[in-house]
Amino acid sequence: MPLLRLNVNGRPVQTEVEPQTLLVELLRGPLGLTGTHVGCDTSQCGACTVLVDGTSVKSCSMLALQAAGRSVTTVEGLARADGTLHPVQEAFIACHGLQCGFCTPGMMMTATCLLQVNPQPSDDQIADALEGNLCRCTGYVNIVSAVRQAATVMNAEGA
Amino acid sequence: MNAPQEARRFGSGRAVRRIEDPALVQGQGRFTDDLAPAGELFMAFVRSTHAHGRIVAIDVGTALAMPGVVAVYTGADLLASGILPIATAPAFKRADGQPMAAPPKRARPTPWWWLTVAWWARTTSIAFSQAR
Repeated sequence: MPLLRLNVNGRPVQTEVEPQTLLVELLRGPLGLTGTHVGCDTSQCGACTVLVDGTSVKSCSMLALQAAGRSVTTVEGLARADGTLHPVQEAFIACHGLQCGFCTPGMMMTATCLLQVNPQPSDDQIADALEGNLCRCTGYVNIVSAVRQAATVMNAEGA
Repeated sequence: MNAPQEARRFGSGRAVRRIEDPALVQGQGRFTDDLAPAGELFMAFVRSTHAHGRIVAIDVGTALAMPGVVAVYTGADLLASGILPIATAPAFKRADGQPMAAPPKRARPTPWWWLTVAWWARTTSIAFSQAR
């Protein structure tokens, strides 16, 4: 089996993987990071979204080997090392941006990517960015509110 | 006069933080697929490719012969095992003792249910295996 070296949530990882292993299978299986969910297996729902070198990627549509040498951030790596929640995590709690919580990790990773690229998105831009993430509790209104609040907090912190 | 007053009683008039959220936003939720008990099996549903029809027979031999497949059940197996219809809520009675107006109940696991395909993609059999 090919040897894979990558960085996951700030830690170097070295492991052997079958060539056909999906990135999400590596994360959930051998690495035990079950916060990244598989909702559909057909790259529609976005529950498996992670950051690869800062860009949001549906980890069910990427091979683990394609992440060689890259830095992967999952929902487990969103909070700071001291345990302080990321502003996006705080905002999802404060705005009731989650109900069952299954789509939430993907939503938050997509939102984090959006706010890095566009720190002051409009509601339309937030909705557009979250197009590839499905919520079956239909909490979209509060999810958009949460991303908007996270943007406000992050801009205030950065200012 | 109508200015909001600070709630003085616990649990009244205050936003309530859900206790499950901190775990869920940190990927520490426990969904069924996150659990891996020893000896777990994976279930697959085989669904009808016909919109409507009567199930005459289902050949499970090929599926059972696949490595790792532990069992395959069809509707006929469930009928044969004596699995009873799903219990439904009892009908209320009117004040005069007559039964309430209600559509006829269709408890699903009847012979009709298991041996007829009433819509496309209805489950026709269920397979359990040691790997996906």
